[in-house]
Amino acid sequence: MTDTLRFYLSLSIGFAVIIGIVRFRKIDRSYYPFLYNTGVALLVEIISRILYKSGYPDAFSATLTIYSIVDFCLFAWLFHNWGLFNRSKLIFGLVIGAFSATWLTFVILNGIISPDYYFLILYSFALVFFSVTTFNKVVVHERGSILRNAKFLICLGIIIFYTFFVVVCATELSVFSQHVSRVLRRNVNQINVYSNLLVNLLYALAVVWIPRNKNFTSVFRS
Amino acid sequence: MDPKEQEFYQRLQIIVSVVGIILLYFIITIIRYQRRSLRLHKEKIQAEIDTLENERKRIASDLHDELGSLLSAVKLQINNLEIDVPEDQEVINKSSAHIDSIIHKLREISNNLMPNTLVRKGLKKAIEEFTENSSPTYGIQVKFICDQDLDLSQHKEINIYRIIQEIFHNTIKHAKANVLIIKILIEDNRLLLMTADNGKGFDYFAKVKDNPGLGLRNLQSRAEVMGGELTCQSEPGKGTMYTFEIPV
Repeated sequence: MTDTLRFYLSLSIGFAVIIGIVRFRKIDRSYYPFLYNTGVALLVEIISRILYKSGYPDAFSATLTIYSIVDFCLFAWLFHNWGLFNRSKLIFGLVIGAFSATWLTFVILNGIISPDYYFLILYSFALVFFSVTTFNKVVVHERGSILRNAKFLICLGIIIFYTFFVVVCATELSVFSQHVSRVLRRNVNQINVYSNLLVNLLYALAVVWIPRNKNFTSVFRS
Repeated sequence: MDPKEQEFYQRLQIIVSVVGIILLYFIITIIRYQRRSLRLHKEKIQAEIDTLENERKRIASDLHDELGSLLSAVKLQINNLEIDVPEDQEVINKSSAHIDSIIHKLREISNNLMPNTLVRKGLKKAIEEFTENSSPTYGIQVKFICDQDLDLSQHKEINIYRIIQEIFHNTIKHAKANVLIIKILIEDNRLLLMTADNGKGFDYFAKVKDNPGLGLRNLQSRAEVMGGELTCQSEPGKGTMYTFEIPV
């Protein structure tokens, strides 16, 4: 798989972004962090490609490191909106604070340009746990078709992507410290490319099914 | 890749495939069980609601047709009595007035249990009649807005009517509101039923978590059997707003 093909496949997040822009004003506001996340993901894919092509590998790595904490915070905000932390702003703040502090510690220790696999694994596990909890709630309480439930699809996407992401990160952490060929690195990363493609399509479907905003005041205005 | 790396990569592929298969199996199983549980849940609620409605219909009919006519006959008989003593005549008149009031009350109860207007003239007229009759009794101003003709199945009409009755009673009993707005409109193949009151409101999430109460459960169940969705927006001191989205 060439880098160009890999880049084009990663742009599949664009479907979710486009649908999100079209539906932005009509949808339930609690899903906004998810739309912001898809937008940021698309932006990071493009910026990473530009930096990679321009020969700035350090800036490319720094972008990914910064993206990891942004990604976590946006998803945590989404789960908070869905009532995961008992709708408590304090618990939400503590979760964000704890992960930001951990991220900052790793950045200080390893520098911003080297990938922090420990942090990536940690936040991936956290997101998978958040998703499984929400996923269970949706399965128990959903009274319609579950395949048309945006929460279910988003949680499913997170579980799939971050499970494979943990496998890849753990592999990189254990193997890449030794001398390995470029082909092996590329092949291992391909796992992320395929799971990313699948999840991006799931996200696009999820954005289609995000419930409409219940705007009571506008309804009673007429 | 050298043979060692090749072997490592193959092992990794096997691990990823196993994880993928487990995830896939997990997802398919969850979806199947959710569908089965949903079907059973809907059948159960439908059976409960059908039993309730049939029982209401039977009681309404018994009250109206049997007790009502029996009381009318009693009234006719005591009015036909020939009494010369004025005090006794006064007792008879009072009894006759009491019987009239009992007959009136019986009709009211019977109508609440199964409104004739709903069966004969449809949902819109039944709601108009219900709000017009109930507003002065409970001292609440009810505004009903519906500019379209509602062509719905009887099953949906009864459920929507019950939802409005439930919300009306909740508004009086719990919200202590003096204004209730009810709006119905059909758009994009769905019926939107929206209500808003100026009552004391409540913390919806806390209420649902602690004990949703029979009223809220009833609203939820009726929305579910119609394949609809209930949304409630309420905060202490800011009134309560319900929205029902029902496919038509």
